[in-house]
Amino acid sequence: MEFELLPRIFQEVGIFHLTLGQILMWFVAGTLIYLGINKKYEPYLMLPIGFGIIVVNLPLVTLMEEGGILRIIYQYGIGKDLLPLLIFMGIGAMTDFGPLIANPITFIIGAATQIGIPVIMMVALLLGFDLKESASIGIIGCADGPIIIYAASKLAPHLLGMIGLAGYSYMALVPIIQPPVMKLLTTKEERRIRMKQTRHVSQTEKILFPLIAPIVIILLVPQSAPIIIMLMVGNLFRESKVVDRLHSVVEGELLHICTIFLGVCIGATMTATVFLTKETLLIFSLGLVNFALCSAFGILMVKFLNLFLKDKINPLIGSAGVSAVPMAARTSHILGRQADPDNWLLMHAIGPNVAGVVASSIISGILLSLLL
Amino acid sequence: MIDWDSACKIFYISILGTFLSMGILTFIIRIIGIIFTHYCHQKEELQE
Repeated sequence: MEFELLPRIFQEVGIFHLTLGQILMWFVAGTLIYLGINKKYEPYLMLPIGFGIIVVNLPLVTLMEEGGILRIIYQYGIGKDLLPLLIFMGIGAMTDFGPLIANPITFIIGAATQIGIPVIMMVALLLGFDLKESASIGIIGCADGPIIIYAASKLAPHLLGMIGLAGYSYMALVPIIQPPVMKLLTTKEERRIRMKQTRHVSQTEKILFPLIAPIVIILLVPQSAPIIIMLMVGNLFRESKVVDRLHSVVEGELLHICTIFLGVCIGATMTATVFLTKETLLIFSLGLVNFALCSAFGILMVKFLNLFLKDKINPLIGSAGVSAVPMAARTSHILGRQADPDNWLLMHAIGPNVAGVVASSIISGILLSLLL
Repeated sequence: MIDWDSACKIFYISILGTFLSMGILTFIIRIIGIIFTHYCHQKEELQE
């Protein structure tokens, strides 16, 4: 009896199955939770992701295996795109497209920042990733969490955890990554440019936007339909001003519930065997370059547009074209005020910022239609 | 083996497609903006 019990204990007790990789993953999770709590780096995501990582790296835990609760949430929530799309509806409900409608040229700046995506896709190809993996690594540069998850879950589900984590980590680091690029590409004189106050946007225009934009975009890029429709229906709730309860649920409870499940599920995809690889290091390095590159393309586009425009645009708002709303716009504003304390760029920078959200939906739709 | 031909096509189509879509949106929103600004202007004038 005793002789039978011992091997059984060895089989059933988790501590005997603990690996060094799993312990390392606890440290990774601990770092994310520390950054979330102490440094306030995307705490709403870092905490559930970190917790998901700890849970999935405990020995003999079957939460992510067939029939496990996290596996079920993952299959329906991420595998069938439910969570990223519902979060996108929440983003739509929180977004004010007014500054973009007032200054539509910022659509072009939003488009320019996306050039970094195919560029990094080509670099990732050179580094040995296949076409679908490269495209999903490229999409990290759009700085839009739900889109990164949506595209990666379709193009490279085995890299989802790393790509999602890289995207959210760099989004939190926008105020650190962008300023050196912005200073490098602009002169002090350019940073001092004061922009003309934007016109008032009427309520009717704000209601028309979420009705017209999806028609135009979906006619051109049908694959972006799920993302654009969710974004715009959320925005219609916001701008119509007659469905306050729907608006508040979509931008509040629904968004938070989806964020919890999305974060835990992303964390739960990161087992030691998947995460502690050379690919992770490459994905994180490419993601960092990608962010810097996308910001740079936005600034360069503004400088190009300024060659033809009578009312000059401050190039600092170009980097806000990456869709990390409102962090990227705030970074432009802060740098603008460093050059000229009376220069208020925030509302101007929100234009390319929300244009980036629309542009990243379009480019991810194009990449999905070409690669699936 | 990298399929560079497909990769280059994806590279160009994704950039051109994004700029085309965003360009058309710029144009449409600009037109709507002009109409509304004009309309609001007229309304203000009438009220005066």
